[in-house]
Amino acid sequence: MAIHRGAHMRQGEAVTTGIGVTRSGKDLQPPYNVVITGGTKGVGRALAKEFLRAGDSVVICSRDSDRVNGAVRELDGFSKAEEGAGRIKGKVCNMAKPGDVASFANYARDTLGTVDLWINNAGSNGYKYKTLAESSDADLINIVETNVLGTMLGCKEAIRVMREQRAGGHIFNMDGAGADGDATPRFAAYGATKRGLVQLSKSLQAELKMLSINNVGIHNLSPGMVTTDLLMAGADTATAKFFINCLADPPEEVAAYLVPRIRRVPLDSRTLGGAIGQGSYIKYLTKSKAYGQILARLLTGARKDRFVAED
Amino acid sequence: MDGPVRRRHPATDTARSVFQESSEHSEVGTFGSRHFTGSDRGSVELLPQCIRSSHHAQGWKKGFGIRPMMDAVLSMPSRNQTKLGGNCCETCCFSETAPKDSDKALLVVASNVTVFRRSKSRSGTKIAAKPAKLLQESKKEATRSRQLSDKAPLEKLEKVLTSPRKALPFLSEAADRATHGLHKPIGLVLTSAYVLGTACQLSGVSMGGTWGPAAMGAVLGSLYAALNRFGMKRFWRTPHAPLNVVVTGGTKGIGKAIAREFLRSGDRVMVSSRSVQAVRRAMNELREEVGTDIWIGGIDCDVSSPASVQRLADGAASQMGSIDVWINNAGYSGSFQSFIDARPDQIQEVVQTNLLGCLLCTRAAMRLMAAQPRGGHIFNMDGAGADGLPTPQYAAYGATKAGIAHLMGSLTSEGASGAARVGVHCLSPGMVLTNLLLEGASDINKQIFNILCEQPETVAAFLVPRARTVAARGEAGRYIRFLTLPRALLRFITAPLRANRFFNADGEAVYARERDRILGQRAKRTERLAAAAARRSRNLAFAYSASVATAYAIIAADTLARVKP
Repeated sequence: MAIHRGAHMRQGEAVTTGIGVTRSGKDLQPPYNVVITGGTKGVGRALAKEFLRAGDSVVICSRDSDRVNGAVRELDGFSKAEEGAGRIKGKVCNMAKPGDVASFANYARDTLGTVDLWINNAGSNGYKYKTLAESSDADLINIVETNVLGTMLGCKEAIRVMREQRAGGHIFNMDGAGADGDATPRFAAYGATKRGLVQLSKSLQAELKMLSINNVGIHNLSPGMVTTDLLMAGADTATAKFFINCLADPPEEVAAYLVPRIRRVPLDSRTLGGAIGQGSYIKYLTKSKAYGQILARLLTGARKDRFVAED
Repeated sequence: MDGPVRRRHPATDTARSVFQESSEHSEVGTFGSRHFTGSDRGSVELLPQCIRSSHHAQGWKKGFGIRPMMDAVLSMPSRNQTKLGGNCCETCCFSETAPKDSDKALLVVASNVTVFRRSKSRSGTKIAAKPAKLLQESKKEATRSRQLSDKAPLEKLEKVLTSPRKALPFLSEAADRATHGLHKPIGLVLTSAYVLGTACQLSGVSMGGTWGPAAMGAVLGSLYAALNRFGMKRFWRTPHAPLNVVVTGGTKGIGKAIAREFLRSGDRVMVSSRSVQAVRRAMNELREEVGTDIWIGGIDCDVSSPASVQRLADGAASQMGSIDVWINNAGYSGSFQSFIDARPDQIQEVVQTNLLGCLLCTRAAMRLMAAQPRGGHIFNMDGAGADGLPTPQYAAYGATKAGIAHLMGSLTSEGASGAARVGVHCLSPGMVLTNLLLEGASDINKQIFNILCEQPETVAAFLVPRARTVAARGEAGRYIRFLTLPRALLRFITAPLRANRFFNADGEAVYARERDRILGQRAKRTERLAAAAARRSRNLAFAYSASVATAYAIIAADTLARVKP
């Protein structure tokens, strides 16, 4: 993609600046400019790759500069090799620090031109599965700050940037186990934070409606069970192994499912008046799909020992 | 005045425990048994009743009291456990533990464990003389009763006949117990009679004239009242011993009301808040409101700091011996404004106080309780958003409360696999008229508050007896809700009755201040509302309504059957 820095902008025309497409028109159209928080590994990284493949420009972040540089280098290599792929940039940002998040949002806006899709993906469960009584101070603080505070600050900064854009934008919050209200023993803190995030999305949708900000949409993403470090750290009991084999999928598969659906949201969620209507909830692992897989496993033994050896 | 040094445990050395501040009046509080482990002095198990008064502090300074006894204790071989107290004498003394290590001091109190008593005497000698005096009195009493039994039987009979109450005190006591509070259900009996009688007369059905249905209603009402009375005794289990309760954020609002309610039930309460001044003020106010013969402690604690929470847990455990109930009440709402306008540091504080604070406190309490033979119970306060419904204008608060409510299920199933019985529960206070709610509220909000809000005392009177029952029965995973959806709907239906209850049409507050409500002119009213909230029972109310309806149906059917032939 050609980069024309400081190109003259005309109303209603897409002009490129930075690595993305600066939109001055009213409609969001592909290719999109995407921000993925915590996009250096796991689902975030897979999503980033999938967006790049679709031709979108992506900005990712992480707390760790080595991880950011590593991920950007690798994904940049991918985008150069692939025909019609978008560009990628990255920045170090601790999502729990208000100052960091604000400057990251500004960086993303300056780099991309406009921020069309913002995915609050950064999350943690301390990579441990323990009862609450056994978990350490650092883990609890990390979980609460990354998952809840990080997402809240991400939403806040994303709204700040997007509401000034004519075409607005869409924010996606990642849910996780516990989001539906089911109990999450051995990762109680993680479940509680994810439960809170689903409620947060609803509150923000209601608030934006109250303030008649109609160019910003808030949505939820449910990746289901993904075979990332986050999940595999818990593969130590027979039940956990059963469910991981039965229900989990590799991040690439999940991302390949989610990204086309995320990219459809800007078009689908628009009302006739041009404003953004209902928020959507994109789920990879729906209840019926999960039950189907469990049933298949019990009847035919499908997916046994898929990721971890059982017995 | 510089009170005696009472830092006992290396871990609590930094604790600015305000519980032990010296006060002018003399107070008694029961401590229960506990271990004070002096690192170099061995441990002393105390069964104390702490008597705090200025004279004791002075006495300690001068070195009189039972200093010799203390010296004996301290000169015991180190790492040795010594049991003091029991039912020996009602004396106390404070002493520095080790002459070498003046930083570690030991408070030794030896007295009766179970009896709460307020010491009125001003000198140590008087206290020491008390047991002897008591002994004399009991001897006198014994001789008196012997004299009575020596009297002629006829004389005794005559006394019984002329003044039975005096002669047979146990009889009158039993009668008092049986008749106590019997007048209360009169209203219920009369209302039932009136309702059923009127309903029958209006609809033209009757059974034995007008008075039949009325009598039936009266019988139903009294049956219900009797059932209620029996149920109160049978099902409202109270714990066998006073509970040791920790209330975080217990210095104002609903936390303070809950602390007050526990204190009134005879429990020992430790309140905490971020500021030492607030803790001290709350303790003084609670003493004034409930009475001075209570055990109340306070430790300042920032729930979002792991070290501070640990200090609170250690301090509470060492001062109270064990912790039976821990109430995670500390919360912060930010203020009533849109999420976009909220400052990042406000959002941060909401998340850290509500969710992180709750997690840290729950964890500290679980660790402590898991080590206790009795286990324990943790109550988390839910709030708007806990049901998963959106909470615009306080989005961050709602999200944290949704998380807190979710925690109960996870921890209950975690606990089910563990050996120790630590119950995790939720208390839902509904809408409570506190600063948390009123911050930044608009006039329309205030009109809603008129309908849905309650004063903290009323809500606490509902929650605390239920929480105590949960603790007494050792239940797991209970969700105690004050404002349920049907109740909220009922309140909206009867909204005109509730106009101007707390705010007038201009949004000005018209309710009495807390002090007035508890101690002032409004005290009676507050008590009445609290009593009504405490005895609220959905099941009994349903049973009553159903029985009245059934009675009516039977009468109607009977009338029809008689009309036909």
